[in-house]
Amino acid sequence: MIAPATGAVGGDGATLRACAFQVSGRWFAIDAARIHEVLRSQKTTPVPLAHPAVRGLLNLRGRIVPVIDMRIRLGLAPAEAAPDDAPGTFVVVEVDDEAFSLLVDRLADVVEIPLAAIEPATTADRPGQDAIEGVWPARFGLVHLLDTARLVAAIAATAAERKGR
Amino acid sequence: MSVDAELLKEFLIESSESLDQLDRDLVALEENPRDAQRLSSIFRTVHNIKGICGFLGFVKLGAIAHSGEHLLGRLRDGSIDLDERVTGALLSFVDTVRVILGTIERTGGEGDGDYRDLSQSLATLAEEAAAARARSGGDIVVTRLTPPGAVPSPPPEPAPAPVNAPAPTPAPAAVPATSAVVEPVAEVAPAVSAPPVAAPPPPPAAAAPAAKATAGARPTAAPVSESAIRVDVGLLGALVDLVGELVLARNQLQATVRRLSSTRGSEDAELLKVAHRIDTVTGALQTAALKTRMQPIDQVFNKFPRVVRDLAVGCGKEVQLTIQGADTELDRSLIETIRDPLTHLLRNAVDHGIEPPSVRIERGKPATGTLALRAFHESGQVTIEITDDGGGIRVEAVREKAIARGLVSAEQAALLPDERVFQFIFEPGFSTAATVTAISGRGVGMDVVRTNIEAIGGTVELDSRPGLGTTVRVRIPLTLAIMPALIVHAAGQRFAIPQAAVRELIALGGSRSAAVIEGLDGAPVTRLRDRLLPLVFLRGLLGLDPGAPAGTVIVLRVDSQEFGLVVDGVALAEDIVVKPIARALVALGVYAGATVLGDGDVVLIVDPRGVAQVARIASRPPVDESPAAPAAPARPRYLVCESQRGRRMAVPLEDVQRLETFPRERLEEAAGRLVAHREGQLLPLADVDAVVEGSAEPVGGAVTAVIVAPGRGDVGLRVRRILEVVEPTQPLDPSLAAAGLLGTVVIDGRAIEVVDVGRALAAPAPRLLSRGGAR
Repeated sequence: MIAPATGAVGGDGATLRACAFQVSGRWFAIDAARIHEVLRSQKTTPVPLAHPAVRGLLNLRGRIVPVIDMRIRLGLAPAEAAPDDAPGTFVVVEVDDEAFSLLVDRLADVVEIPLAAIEPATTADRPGQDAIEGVWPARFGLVHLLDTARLVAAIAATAAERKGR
Repeated sequence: MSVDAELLKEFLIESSESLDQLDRDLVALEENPRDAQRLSSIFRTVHNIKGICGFLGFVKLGAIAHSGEHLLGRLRDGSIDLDERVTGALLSFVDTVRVILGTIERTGGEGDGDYRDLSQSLATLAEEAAAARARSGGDIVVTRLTPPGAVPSPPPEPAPAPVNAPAPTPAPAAVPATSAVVEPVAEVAPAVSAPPVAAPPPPPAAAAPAAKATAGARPTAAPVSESAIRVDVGLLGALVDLVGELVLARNQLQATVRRLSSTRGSEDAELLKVAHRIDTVTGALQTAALKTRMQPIDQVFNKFPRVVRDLAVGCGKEVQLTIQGADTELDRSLIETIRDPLTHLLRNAVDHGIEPPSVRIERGKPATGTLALRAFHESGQVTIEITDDGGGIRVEAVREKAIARGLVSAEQAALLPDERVFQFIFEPGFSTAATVTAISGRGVGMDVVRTNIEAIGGTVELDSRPGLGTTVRVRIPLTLAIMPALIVHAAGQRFAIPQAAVRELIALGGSRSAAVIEGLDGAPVTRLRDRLLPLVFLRGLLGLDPGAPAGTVIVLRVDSQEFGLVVDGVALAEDIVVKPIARALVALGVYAGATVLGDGDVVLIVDPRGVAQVARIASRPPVDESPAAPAAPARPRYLVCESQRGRRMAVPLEDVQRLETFPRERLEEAAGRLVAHREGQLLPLADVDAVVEGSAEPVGGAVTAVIVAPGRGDVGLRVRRILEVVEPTQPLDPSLAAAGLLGTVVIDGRAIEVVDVGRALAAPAPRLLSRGGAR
């Protein structure tokens, strides 16, 4: 999943261009190439019966995009939830021709992560963290690298399971 | 093999288009073998395919194209005549080319198929037919074809090419499919017995009568590439989406302008004018953008001459297919959906409808049956009619069968009108065909046809006269992108429900309204007139806060199963733009998509079929079987109109005097009202949109009005156009009565508001734009 960014092969090795963001005080990052755009506060419509992490649907210029609440998806809510005054940022990613919007607390700049510095993820210690595929100890803290496809797949699996209920 | 991918893609697209054209041309050529122009065009097409094959290095395809071209060349220079065998061989040639192209498209290579037999039989046919012609002086008789199963697969060694001519044998009339080998050829040259036999297309059985399938009213296809360009479908989709966004922004602009002009007085005439212009242009742009998704139904129809020809040959019948309205347009996403149902209906018509030639002659009909396929636009829908002049279906036979199968009691059946009785044909497993054939008649199919048509919001009905023939009428919406829907609310959230499935609305829990009853298995039901209707609570189904059991029951019909969906209330009826949602959410089984309402909010579209499945409606015990109430005498009739904003409204016909159009010059504002000068008097005009929404589109040009006489004098109701006069089977439902509205009536499954003409003038008058803005 983690591929070196094109042209990013520097003197001491390949790097991954990634977007870092915060959820409940922790740092995460996804491959910048996956990101389509970033939106500020948006009105969402709830989707009854959907996976609890599906916060709702938003209207992205006529395209209906599900919003995934990353706190719930990553198992960080509600215990570690930041105060609710943070309006949140919607990071739109594309997976298999479908757009999803990840609701995060705060978006940081694009970071260049040396591939050599990425450590394998420790066993998923809590539910919802199955999408973590590596850890990068940055100067500002530990950054968890996320696999977008797996982030999204969990929602579909639960939906299918619920249908069979 | 390294091939320029772009060139290959272009080749595949063009070839598949050419092949469809070849199908049509060949069938047309069979009808009129002397059409030299068409023959040349066929020849050119095949020649082109062959040329590009050489260039791209497709050896097998090239070899086959060469054989085909050779046979066509013989036809073109007149050294052989086109007969059924040659046509059959050429059609199966086209099929084979299509198969190879399909393989190339999927895998990039030609695959392992061995097509030498086909090449051989084409070559043999070219020589043999020419030789035969040379002997007999030009008359080739129709030869019997052999059913594909009857002959063991072609002999291992390819037949040595040209064989000297078999003597033409007079073709026997239709022979049972059992005596199966092609005699005339076999006698003379055993080695040739296989190739010509291998040639005919899929379904053949013993069939002497040639099928004649012509595209009647269709203009002969001429290349029209100059006026058209290829555009990526995704780009068109993006265009339509953006226009949808623009429409929303337009709506918001209008609301803002209205608010501003009401608070700041009238000096905003300029702003109003600009807003009106943006409104007009946006509307036109939306129409044009939606049109880009439209395609002529010919995309489906153009395959049918070939289909019918093959079917007719297969059944030993003579069928003339006429096609009308092939240029009727509908949304491209619907084109593919209707292909199978229509093919099935045609198959039924040829197999069961049209009689064999001998029977037809006995009955005093022409030996050739007529199958008419007609498409046209009608009240915002596309109607497709398939009419045959065959034996027809006895309505009594259907009635008896329905009773025998327990679909209806004998007493009920006796009361049902014929058109309702014919609907039983679409029930699963229902077939009145006396014989089961390989082509159709196993009692499967018509229910699938109905399911497929209803899935896209359409209807199908059948009418038949014994001895005269059968007409099947399929009505489908113009587009799936826009559908009429009810916007309902439940637990504070709004949902859209497609009108196509809605039968009627009833109030629940009020004084004179329905009450929830426990059903046999504890599931909730309500009594609707004479029967028990299973209920599904939308709040409960979606796991929302349960709330009190009151609200509105939306009676939905899915696959002939009716049930009531209980919602808190109905907000409005609106044409909505359907947007896809993530597959993960579709997998929940209850949502068909989402839409964006005028206020920018996203609203989920509830899928009635999904609701029925999730709530397990079908597995609930059947409702009680009390006999149907006799129809009430003299049902009231209504005039259905479309308002300026596209709303459907009904006006009691007894109130209607006439319809009039007033040019702009005869309109004026007087005493806060819009009035029209009419026969020296002033006629007050009301707008049906204003009755419902409290506001109306400003008047910029001529006004069409329904003149009603509600007692104290005439009033004109401004409408965009008149749609139809209807006689609803259900009485007026007053549960949604409001100021200016008498309630609703259900027409073709849609609830339509009925205007209270006596109080229509109480609604705000539409604004009259200055003449400058009224272009």
